[in-house]
Amino acid sequence: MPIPEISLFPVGNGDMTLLRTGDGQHLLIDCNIRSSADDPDDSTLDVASELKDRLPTDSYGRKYVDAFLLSHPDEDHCRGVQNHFHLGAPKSDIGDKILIRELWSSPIIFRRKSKNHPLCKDAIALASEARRRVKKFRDEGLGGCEDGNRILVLGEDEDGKTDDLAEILVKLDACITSINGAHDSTFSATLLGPLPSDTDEESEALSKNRSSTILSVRLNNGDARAQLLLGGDAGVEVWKRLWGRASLGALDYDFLLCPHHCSWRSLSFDSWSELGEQAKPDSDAVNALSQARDGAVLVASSKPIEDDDSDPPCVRAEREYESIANRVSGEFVCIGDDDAAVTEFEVGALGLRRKVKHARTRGMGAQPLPHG
Amino acid sequence: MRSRSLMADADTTRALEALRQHPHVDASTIQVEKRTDGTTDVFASIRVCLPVKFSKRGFGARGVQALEPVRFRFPSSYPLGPPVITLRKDFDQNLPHVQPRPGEVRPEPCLVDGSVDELFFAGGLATLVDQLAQWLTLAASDELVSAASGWEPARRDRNESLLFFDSSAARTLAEEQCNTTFVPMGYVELPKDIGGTFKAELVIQRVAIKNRACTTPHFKQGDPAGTGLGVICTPSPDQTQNRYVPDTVADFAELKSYAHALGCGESFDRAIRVLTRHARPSGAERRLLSVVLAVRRPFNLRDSDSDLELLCYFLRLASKGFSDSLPVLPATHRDPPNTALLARVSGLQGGDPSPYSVLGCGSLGSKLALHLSRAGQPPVQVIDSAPWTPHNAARHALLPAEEESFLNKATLLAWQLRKALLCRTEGVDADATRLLLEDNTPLKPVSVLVNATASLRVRHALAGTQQLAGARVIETALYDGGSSGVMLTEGPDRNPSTLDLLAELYALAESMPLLREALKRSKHTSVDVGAGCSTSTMRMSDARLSIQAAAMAEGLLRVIPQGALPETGQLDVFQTNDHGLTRSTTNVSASLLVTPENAPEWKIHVSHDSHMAIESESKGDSNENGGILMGLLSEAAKQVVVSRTLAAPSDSTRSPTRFTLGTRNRDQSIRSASESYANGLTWVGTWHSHPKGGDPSQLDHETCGHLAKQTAGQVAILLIWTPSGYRALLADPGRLSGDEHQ
Repeated sequence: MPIPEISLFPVGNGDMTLLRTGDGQHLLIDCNIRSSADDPDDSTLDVASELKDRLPTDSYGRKYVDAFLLSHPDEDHCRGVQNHFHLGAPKSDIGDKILIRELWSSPIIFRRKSKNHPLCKDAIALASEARRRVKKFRDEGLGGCEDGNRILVLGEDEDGKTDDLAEILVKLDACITSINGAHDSTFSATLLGPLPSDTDEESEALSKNRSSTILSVRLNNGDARAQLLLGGDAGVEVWKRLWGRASLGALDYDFLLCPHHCSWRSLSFDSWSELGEQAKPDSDAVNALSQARDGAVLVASSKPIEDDDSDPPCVRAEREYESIANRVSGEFVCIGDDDAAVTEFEVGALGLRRKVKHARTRGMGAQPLPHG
Repeated sequence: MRSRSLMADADTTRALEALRQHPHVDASTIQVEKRTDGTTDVFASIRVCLPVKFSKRGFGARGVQALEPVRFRFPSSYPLGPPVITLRKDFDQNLPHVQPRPGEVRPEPCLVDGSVDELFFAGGLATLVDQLAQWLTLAASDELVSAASGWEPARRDRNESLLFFDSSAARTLAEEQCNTTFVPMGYVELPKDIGGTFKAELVIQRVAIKNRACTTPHFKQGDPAGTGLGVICTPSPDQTQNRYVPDTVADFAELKSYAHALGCGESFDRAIRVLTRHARPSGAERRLLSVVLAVRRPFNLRDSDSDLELLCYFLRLASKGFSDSLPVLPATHRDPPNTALLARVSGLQGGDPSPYSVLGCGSLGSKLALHLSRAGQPPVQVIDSAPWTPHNAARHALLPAEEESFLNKATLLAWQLRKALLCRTEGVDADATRLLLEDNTPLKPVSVLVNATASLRVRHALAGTQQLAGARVIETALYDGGSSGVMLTEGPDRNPSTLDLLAELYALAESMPLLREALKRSKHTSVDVGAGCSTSTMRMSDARLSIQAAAMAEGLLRVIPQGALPETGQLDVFQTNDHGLTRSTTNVSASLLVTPENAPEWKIHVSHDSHMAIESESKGDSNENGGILMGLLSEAAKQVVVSRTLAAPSDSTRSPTRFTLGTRNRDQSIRSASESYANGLTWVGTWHSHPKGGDPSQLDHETCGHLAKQTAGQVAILLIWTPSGYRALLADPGRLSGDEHQ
């Protein structure tokens, strides 16, 4: 039985998080593979290779993720998808690209995003891949959904557009316990967002507030478990509403991916660059993001945080998260502080812990051992 | 000396730098202390990845701290050896993966499943610290044993005696009996000067304790060896022991309490009651008793498929029985070399093996049998009629003692396999041909018969025998001083047969010049082995023969352990060269079997290749067509193997009703073809087609008669292609009447 793991790739202000479950399934949440990371002459960590090193290979020799979730279609969450993942009907030879066995996609997020902003080319490609997979399901049912064709639709779309997709639809507050069609006894994920909008005003407000898929993921290792709160770039309005509607314990976490790369805009309606220390956090949003358990780890997937007026990452948000961490003797970690390596956590027999980091030796440690 | 000390300083500085830069070393805590004995102590604290929920209190399970102080003791010879890494004195010692170090107060973590020296040389000091951080991190989560890594056997700080028994048999007994089982034991007491402990072996078969023959030792005080008794104590139902506790049992009272703590108390007490009642020693008798506690663990033991841990002890009973202070010696269990253990060590997965026997226990046969037996795949029988003679020592797998020389080779080989590897192989001292053709009762049924006799007689006997009851033959043979070796694996239902495969080998030689030359060169020479005595053998070194035998054994290990015989015939050619050995494999399809209409006791084997050639020349042609057949004859097996076809001579004539084989260059082309087939294939007959089908014609019968007179006493065939299949006639000089002979 593999030990559940969380791998956070250093991708600057962007997200790229790989979860490995205790059943050995791999769920990749977002990806931001910059051209500098693909450039062998650039010192930026080659995160695509780091990702592939952690992925299994199927009988056709294809690297694969069991599921890929796009939290929302911003470029810093899907950059490099076309270059590094196979999109389109699955085939046995996909070169060195990665097969997405099951795509987790939220139509409402695409809709809200594209209402106000043009989609980047990787997001367009993913939207088209999602449509291809949904069509395949509509045409052939679950029977047509083998590896590379499966899709899970997160959240109901507006105007009943997803009403005929019951078998592949995850409704708000529902719990996902299967990945790529296989029940995973070590994994569950509750869908906390995107939140629905009853009125046009609500819809407008959420559109402007960086709607994201929000998951509360549980990784189990025997009796031990770790609760992860993953909210993409969700903004303050979303967290405020979540605090208002979430049931008791639904927002508890051992691990928080601080939304929007440690942005002040997820904690406050005020502008940090304009108001500075006068900016006030929204108490509901802060509450929503403060449900840390003892020793919780709060991670900013961002560049190193400077004491200036930039946002994200925002030093004021860092202070807020550090204070949450301090209250539970936890830890605030900025991925950008060590961008030469993947930051990793694992779920041991007594719960979440950091994974041991190996010394960076020059290729030693891997000498073939002979036998005499 | 000065330069040495400078070197040492540079080495130390480099090591300190490696520690300083390690992500899990708190550089601010590093302290160095040079010692008078030349070693250097470096103290440093290691950052441990505590479970986050314990961050507040600052320590994890077993009191492991977020910053663990450790000591690296660098030997004066560093970097020729790694530092010894020890933990603080009050570190919990009741942890698995702690090195047994009697008298040492600082526990030493066992960092690697293998040699720390090797790990150090493979990865350097940093890799040791990687492992140390990992070890401490797992300790802090109480995860040094886990289902993933398997249960770690209880650590003992003194382990001197050895107890051999078949652990899988003992576990089966423990699972089935759920009780206390007594088993017989034989042992030797090792002399005091090498430790004065025991080496014993349990025979896992239940004995009744009331039988005094079993319980009364033949051993008297002062004897170095004797028989004793073993007792296997089983866990009470629902007794699973989750807690790892090192085994420090030293006397009977401790053993009893340990047995109770581990869930075997009920069974242990019963054993002691029975022994006290029935097996009280008297006078000078001092009975040796071994106790095996079968302890149920929450998951399988490391590298094992069982969750029963077997903890073994020796007790030496005195006449006063079981007093609390009776000394108890821990014993290390070892499996005798059973086939399952051998297969495991050889890296073979469990499967449904094909039972097989080996015909021929010469150099090649003995080595094949030994290679396979060492991989846990012993033959059912080994068969040979020849005795061992001293010249066999040059290459044979066995090196018998002087008094065993001149014994039968099969008997010797089987005896060695049984004794050293605990196989059940039977040696059969018999002539293989007689077994195959006359009385097969000594042969046990098998799926595969490996023919390593290199005997043409046996080859032909195997081709002709009906006695194999479904077994397929795999023939192994060496040619040309071992430069070439072949392995012929028959197809399902023995089709293609070894003769078919042999013919295919010769045909292959046409396109493999090295093989062709080796086959042509291959011959036996007479070697003088004593006054007035010589033997006919092939000159080659043991090393050369062993390369071939090892490659062939590997080939056999690909099919025998899994019962995965190929679905076609298979022809493997092994060729040694300056760079080692190459193997080329050819799959050979089944032959078409045709019975001559005038000789139903004969069989014609038409190879797939010949059939395709004949069919392509015949199908769709309204004229009769024909050509020459090359192959092998076996009078003994009453078989004609057709392997290849040659084109008809240019003066042949064709019409819709008649084909006449010409003679222009006929003999030359046959000779030249035969040459290209390493002289292995010869002319065996002719073929022609009947495009409209029908029986062999009167003319065919007449031709057959003529042919029989011209073949120098050998048979030849007339093979006739028809749209509905082959027909055949055998031109057999043996069937000519007296008049015809003249």
